[in-house]
Amino acid sequence: MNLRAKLLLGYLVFIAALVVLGGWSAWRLREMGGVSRSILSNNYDSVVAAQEMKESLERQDSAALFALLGARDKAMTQLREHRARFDANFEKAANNITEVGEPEAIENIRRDRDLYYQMFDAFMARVDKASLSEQKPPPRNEEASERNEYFTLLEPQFNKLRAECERLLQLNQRAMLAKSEAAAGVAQLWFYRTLLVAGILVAAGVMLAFFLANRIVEPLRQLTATTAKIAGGDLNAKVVVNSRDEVGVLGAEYNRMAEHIRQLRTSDMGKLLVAQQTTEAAIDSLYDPVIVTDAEGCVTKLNPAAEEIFGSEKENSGRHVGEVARDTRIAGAVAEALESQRPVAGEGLSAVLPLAVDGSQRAFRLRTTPMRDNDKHLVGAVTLLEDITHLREIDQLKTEFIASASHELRTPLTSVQMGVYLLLEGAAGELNPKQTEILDACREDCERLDKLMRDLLDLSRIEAGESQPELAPIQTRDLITAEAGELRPQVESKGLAFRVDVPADLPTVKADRSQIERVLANLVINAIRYTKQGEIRISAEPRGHYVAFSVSDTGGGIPQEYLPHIFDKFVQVPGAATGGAGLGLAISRLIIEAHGGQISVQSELGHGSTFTFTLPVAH
Amino acid sequence: MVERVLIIDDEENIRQMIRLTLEASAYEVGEAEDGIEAFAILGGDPSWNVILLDQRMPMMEGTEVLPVGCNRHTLRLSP
Repeated sequence: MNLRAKLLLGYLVFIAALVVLGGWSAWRLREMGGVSRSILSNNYDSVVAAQEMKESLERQDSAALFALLGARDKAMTQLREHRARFDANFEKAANNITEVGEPEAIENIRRDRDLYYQMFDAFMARVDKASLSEQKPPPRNEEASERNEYFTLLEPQFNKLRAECERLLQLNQRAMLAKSEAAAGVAQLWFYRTLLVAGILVAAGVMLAFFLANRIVEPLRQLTATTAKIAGGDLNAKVVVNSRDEVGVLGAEYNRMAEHIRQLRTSDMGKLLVAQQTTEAAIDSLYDPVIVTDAEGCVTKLNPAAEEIFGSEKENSGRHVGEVARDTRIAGAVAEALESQRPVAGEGLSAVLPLAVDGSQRAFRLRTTPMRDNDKHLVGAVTLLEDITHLREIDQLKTEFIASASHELRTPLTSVQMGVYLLLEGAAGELNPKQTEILDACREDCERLDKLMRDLLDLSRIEAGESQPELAPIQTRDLITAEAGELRPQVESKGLAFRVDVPADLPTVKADRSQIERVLANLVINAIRYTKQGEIRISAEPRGHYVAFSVSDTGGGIPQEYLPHIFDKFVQVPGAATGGAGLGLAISRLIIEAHGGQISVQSELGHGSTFTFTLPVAH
Repeated sequence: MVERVLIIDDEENIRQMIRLTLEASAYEVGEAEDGIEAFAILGGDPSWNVILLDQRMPMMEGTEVLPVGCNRHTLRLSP
């Protein structure tokens, strides 16, 4: 049954109750009206008739008196009129016998009336006879006999008849009173009954209304409670609606919707869970310690590698990173990354964090990256401690290896070099041109090998910080022209032009002369190697508090991909006539940086390269 | 008078090459394999004019040999 029908039914029951109550009350009222009417018809008419009878009887009596006094015509008229009135009323009363004792009363009246009428007629005849002998004075006794007749016969009969009429009146009046009282009692009784029925109906109606309202509202209340549960996160809450009305349909649809949400949530949660687990597994699988912090810098996650250093995630979670990590640089990097919202990465030796792991000292490089959500809001930072202990150990090992290997290699090389030199000097006899040619080639390669050894040794010394430049003020122009004079034969022997453009008024620089000469030689020799024709040019110009030295060539240039690495160790650009070890530029950079300057390269493929380095001006 | 040069080096080939080079220039050359042997040769003999001393050697480093010889000889270092 639908909601509309339910409501209609409720109203219908009410209407029906009202109709029943109304009908019943109307019927009762009608009955009460019947009682009044019956009183009116049964008794009131009789009362009125009796009253009229009494009155007309009295007028008849008056007529007798009129006749006695000699007004015979007036007496006759009045007698006829009131005899007719009496008879008419008597008929009315006789036809309306309703009470016990009434028929007897009527019979008595009838009998006494008839007797009264006879007596009256006889009296009137006597009065008429007396009036005929009016000429002669009537004897006193005759006159007296008419009066005597009235008082002895007629008047007592009149009184009797009148009393009879009075009795009839009384009878009906009493009956009327009794009936009226009875009716009043009945009316009161029905008033209470009606009140009771109305009360019962009202109570039933109220109960029905409550019942209906509950039937309608209860499922809605359940729906509301379930909605609250679902809103609170309990997606398993279900609406139990048994009714088949609109609310029932709503409940079923609601359950369907909740199920849909539940499925969505489950699948979304599943995806999120997988994503989270993947992320956690990825972080946990890293050998490098990872510290995840929130936007306030409080630790939210430590991977197992980080737990080894800082203690378990459980005991550190929620604490500020500054309390967790003893080294202030970690907290500093996190704060900086959170503030600048840019990745912070340490460079160079100063960025190396020594930390104790399982009792052994290890070196870490710090890298902190801020995390932002999709709306670019800062949500925290990830700090990765890259374990570079191994790298540093390898670096150390490499430096030691190079130092020791180059010494071990140089010893036999020295003896080979000396042997070749002795032979070329003719210490073992004269050589023919062929032998000289072979030994020259040997000497050249020995020198190359020796230079490589020296370079390696120097590099390892500079990297180990054993070879600090001895700084002194040097005349720039003097430095360049002297070194250019040394290099000129090598350049010109390759058929290249050699130009030196150095202004006379260059400031003096603060430098280690031999080291800068070495850098210049390196750059020029490199230029020679990569240039087949054209010129090599050395120039210098002041640049603020620095002097910029440039070595340009017209060689093949350096491919773009090599430019960022050209100053790294063992990097060689293909196209060299005879290959070096790729150490010259690395050593040059180390030397220039140790002087507080910078070295850079500009190159265009096919049009040559320009290497520029700066040295600080001496004050 | 012939100049006398003592070569102290653990590498036989190096000693040999230096000796050949010096002899080509008419020096009188002596050789010692390590510091101990060098002390034996030097002894109380003051006639050595030059000592060529290698720095990295087994038994005794060149820098250890140096102070002992410093008392009586003018020395030039050669790596």
